[in-house]
Amino acid sequence: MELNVKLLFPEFFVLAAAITGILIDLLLPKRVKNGFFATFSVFVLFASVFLVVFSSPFVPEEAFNGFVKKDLLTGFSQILILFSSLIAVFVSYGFLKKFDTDHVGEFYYTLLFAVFGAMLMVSANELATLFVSLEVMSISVYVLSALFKKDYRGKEAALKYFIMGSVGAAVIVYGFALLYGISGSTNYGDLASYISTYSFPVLLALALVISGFLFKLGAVPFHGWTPDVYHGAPTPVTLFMGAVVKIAAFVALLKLFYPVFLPLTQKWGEVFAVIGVVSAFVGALMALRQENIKRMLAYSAISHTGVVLTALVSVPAVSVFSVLFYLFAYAFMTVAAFGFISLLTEKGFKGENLSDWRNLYGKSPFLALSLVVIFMSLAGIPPLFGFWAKFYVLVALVKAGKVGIAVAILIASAISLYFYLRPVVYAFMKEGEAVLPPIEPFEFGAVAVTVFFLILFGIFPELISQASLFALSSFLRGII
Amino acid sequence: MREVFFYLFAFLSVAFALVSVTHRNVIKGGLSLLASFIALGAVYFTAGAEFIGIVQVIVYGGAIVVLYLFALMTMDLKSFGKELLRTVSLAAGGAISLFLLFSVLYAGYRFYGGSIPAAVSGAKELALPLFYRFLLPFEVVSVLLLVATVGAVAVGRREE
Repeated sequence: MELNVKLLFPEFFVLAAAITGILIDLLLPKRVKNGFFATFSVFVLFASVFLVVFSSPFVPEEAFNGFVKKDLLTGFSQILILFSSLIAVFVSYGFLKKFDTDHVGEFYYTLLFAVFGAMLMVSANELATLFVSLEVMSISVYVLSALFKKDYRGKEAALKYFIMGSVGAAVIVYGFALLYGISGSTNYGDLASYISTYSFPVLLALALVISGFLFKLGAVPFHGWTPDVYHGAPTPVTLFMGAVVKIAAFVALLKLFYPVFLPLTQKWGEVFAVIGVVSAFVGALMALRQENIKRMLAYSAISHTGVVLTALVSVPAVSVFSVLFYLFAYAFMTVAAFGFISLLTEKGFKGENLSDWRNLYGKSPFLALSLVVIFMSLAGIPPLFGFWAKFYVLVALVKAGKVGIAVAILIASAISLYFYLRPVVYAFMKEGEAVLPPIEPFEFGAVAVTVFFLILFGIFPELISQASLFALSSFLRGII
Repeated sequence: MREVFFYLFAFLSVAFALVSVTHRNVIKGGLSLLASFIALGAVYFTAGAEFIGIVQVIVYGGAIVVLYLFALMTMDLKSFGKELLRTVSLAAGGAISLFLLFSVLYAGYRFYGGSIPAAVSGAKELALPLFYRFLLPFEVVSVLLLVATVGAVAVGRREE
């Protein structure tokens, strides 16, 4: 039993920066706020990337009486979280110039609070810590969605997300309470020793925890909120919730389920596989008819979540590897796609419909080409990053003998190719005028960098697969 | 000595509770509810449960009664006098009260003569897990409240 506070230094650094942000917000005049807070957040996030790199241990270490456990899985997912948040800050800088809000300071430091919650969530090794950090992240995101002026859509999205998210959180807590009742402890390690056999309370707790996580991830029976919220929230916030919230929820799921429910792996793996296949199909089919690109990407997010969930049916080690790899690819693609939309958005919700992208190639060839890279990567076309993500999931499924699921995922991917091609068709082949507001250099740079990474990691996927392997081996050392 | 105070405060608690439901002036009823809660807190003290006693006074006496009073002040109290007691609601309320009375009497009969354990809910037994074992989630809850407060103020404020 020891505190070992220094292990959580990166998290506390982000937290301290966020609280400092609240204080600074009181002193600054409004016109310098956007520039100052964007610089401040970029500096904080960059610094915490370095802190995470230097403080992530290969041999898992515990802190706060075993309430958090850090390994390389935590480290890599935190770097991914910080990277996505960095891009979110760059995109927000341009977005806040275009769209008015009274709450510039609040926007940036609430973002930092959300980053803190996500970082703590992926290092949690105990139910109460997991839940509290999940709520810090979720509530920050609800607030972020509602901060813009005369943005009725964002406020509607915030309220919907808040209600649905609270239901999800309540369901998770019911599950946690049952687990505590079964074992008398909330620590993952102690829980694992009690959950070795089937019994009604264990299965009920498992069902509740799974349902809660599916709520947060937006997988099929609980996906209803996703399109409305992704569509309604301001684009940088959608970027954040598409990338960061999903990474945090998936990694927390891996870190909770493998140690605690290891004896029941086969059962919940199959549950996730069934839900995953259904999600992949529902997402792909619903996205076919969408005219709004944010809405389309929301359905595509459901579809991608489904693909990741099917990976959990494989052998545990392979599952963790392919899920982490997929999360890397998915985060980069989501960040690039929503950053791209934000770049083209204008007042009055213009620039986010397919018809607003007509003949984009004529106006800006570079933007049109990055659009091709982003959407083809989402579709999983080689040699882009998204291809390898799907490839590893399919290999994992085939190796585990689940050929049927692999074929189903392939069919869903083939369907999704149709709607990923539509923006490309609009940008290159349709006659008309694209909406092209003045380009913000930082926003543009952020999108260009992520597009570059999509190509780079597509050509050299071993960079990420090696990192995922390290993370996997470090994670397994913590379980055994 | 303990018994004397126990019965004194128990009597006060019941008496004030009776006043709070029978008094015609609602505000005075609310105030006697407050007195009843404080007397109940004192009952917990005499039973050796200091922590529950303090929480009773702070939470019920401090927060909930004030909330009641605020709510009462926003209502039109004059119209309350005209409303006649309806038989259905009177019967329902009476049935619930009778049920509660019987369960309290039964519980008192079942546990009569049992001795009071030394530390029912001391502050120390609660503080040790809260501020040592569960230190991290406990502190993060304060972050959660901070975020929620900032968010509520930012979202709830009227747009200029």
